[in-house]
Amino acid sequence: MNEPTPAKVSKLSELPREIPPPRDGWPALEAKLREARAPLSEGSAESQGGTAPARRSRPRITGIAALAAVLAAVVVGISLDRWMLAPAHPTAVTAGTEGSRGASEALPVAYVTDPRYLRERAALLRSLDARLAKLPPATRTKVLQSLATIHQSMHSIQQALGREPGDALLQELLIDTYQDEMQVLSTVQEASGGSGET
Amino acid sequence: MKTSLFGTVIPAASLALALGTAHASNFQRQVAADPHGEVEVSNITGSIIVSAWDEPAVSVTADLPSDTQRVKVTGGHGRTSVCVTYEHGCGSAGFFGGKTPVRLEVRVPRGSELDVSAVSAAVTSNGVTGRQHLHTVSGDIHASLGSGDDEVNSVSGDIDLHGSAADGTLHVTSVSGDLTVTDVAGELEARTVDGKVTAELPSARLVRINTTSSGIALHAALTSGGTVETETVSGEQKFDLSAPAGYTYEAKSFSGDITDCFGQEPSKSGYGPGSRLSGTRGGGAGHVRIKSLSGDISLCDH
Repeated sequence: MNEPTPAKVSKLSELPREIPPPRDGWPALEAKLREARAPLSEGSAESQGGTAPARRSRPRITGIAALAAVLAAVVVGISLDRWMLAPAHPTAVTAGTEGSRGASEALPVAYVTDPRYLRERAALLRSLDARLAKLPPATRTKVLQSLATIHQSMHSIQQALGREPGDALLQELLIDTYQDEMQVLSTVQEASGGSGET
Repeated sequence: MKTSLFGTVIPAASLALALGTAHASNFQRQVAADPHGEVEVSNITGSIIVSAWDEPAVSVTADLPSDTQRVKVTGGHGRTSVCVTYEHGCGSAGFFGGKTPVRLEVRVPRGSELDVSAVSAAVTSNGVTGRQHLHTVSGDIHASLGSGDDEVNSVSGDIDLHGSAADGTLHVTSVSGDLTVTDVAGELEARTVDGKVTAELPSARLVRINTTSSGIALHAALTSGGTVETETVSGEQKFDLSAPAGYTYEAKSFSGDITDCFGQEPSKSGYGPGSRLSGTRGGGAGHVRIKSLSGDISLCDH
């Protein structure tokens, strides 16, 4: 049996544009798939009391899950948007501990994701009330006012960044405000911690 | 026998006065000290006045108005400690003291390293050329500094420091007290939350000042390659900076106005707030970087 010798190809253009498959395998594959599905459908129908075939319920469940996921994403998106770009909430500055809590919790840190920074900031905020309580009342009030000023500045810059997300100066100033806040918290920590007993 | 009212009251008052006078007796002690040793002084309330002399000794004088207050002076191995003691030892009367004020005067060798701690006591230091570490809570601090590595901090007390114009390093921190620094040379690092910073440096190698809510006024002559970096959140910043070798400058603010005496106009951010002003003076060897969020900035080189 002599097979025809393939012609020597010297150029790319000499290659055939279409090569038909030696045989169409799809009809056989489709038949096998039908055979495999038939018992599965029967079993599912039995388990559901024959009320609905599984093949029809699966897309419905998937669709609901997809819808829920989209809804959740929209809710998260709206929340983030409101959280990050909301106008500054006027923080009540009082000498009491409630004032410090209000000031600290009003601060969004969405732009900063460094876990070390977030961890240290959270620790400083946790101890802020106790440390403020050790300071003279007038100083405590000034610290709270300063923190409120920082937080208002953060909100203002974040709002501006919402309008101009790519502005390098605004980004830099926002990072500075985070550093300013850390500096105030650190200063309070040092002042209250190192000034007790001599 | 009848005793008149005056006959009873007057002797009793005289006795009380005599006892009171005895309580207010002067405390005096002098111990030998290393001319370059360390001297620690602490007092809760009243005052601490430290002055330098050329004797190898530490001399202590105090007025003790209460039986419960004493002065403890210990020395040895290059270290002398002076403290006003209460019932529970040195300075253990609680954070705000609440005790009778004690005036404490201490003379130390000129080259001593000084470490002073107070709560509400005012601190004064004169003539010490060694390193000084001064700390109060609400007491004010007035000190003349040598050329050492000095550190001064308070919580709410004002701080007033006068340098020797010799090169050194000074770190000053306060939460709400105002800082005034004059004739300091070399490095200055000052930080407050809500305290105004006023500084005058005849020779500045490195200046870093940071406040949150209060202003900065800096008058300085930069050495060649000297650097000034300042930042406020809402405080106003005023600079009068000169440098024989010149400097480059950059001022940035979110919503504050930026002006200079060099005829430069700040460039504004595209659509929102935010402006930047930069330029070069002379050879541009030094560097000046100024930032604020809402405070105004003004730069001159008069």
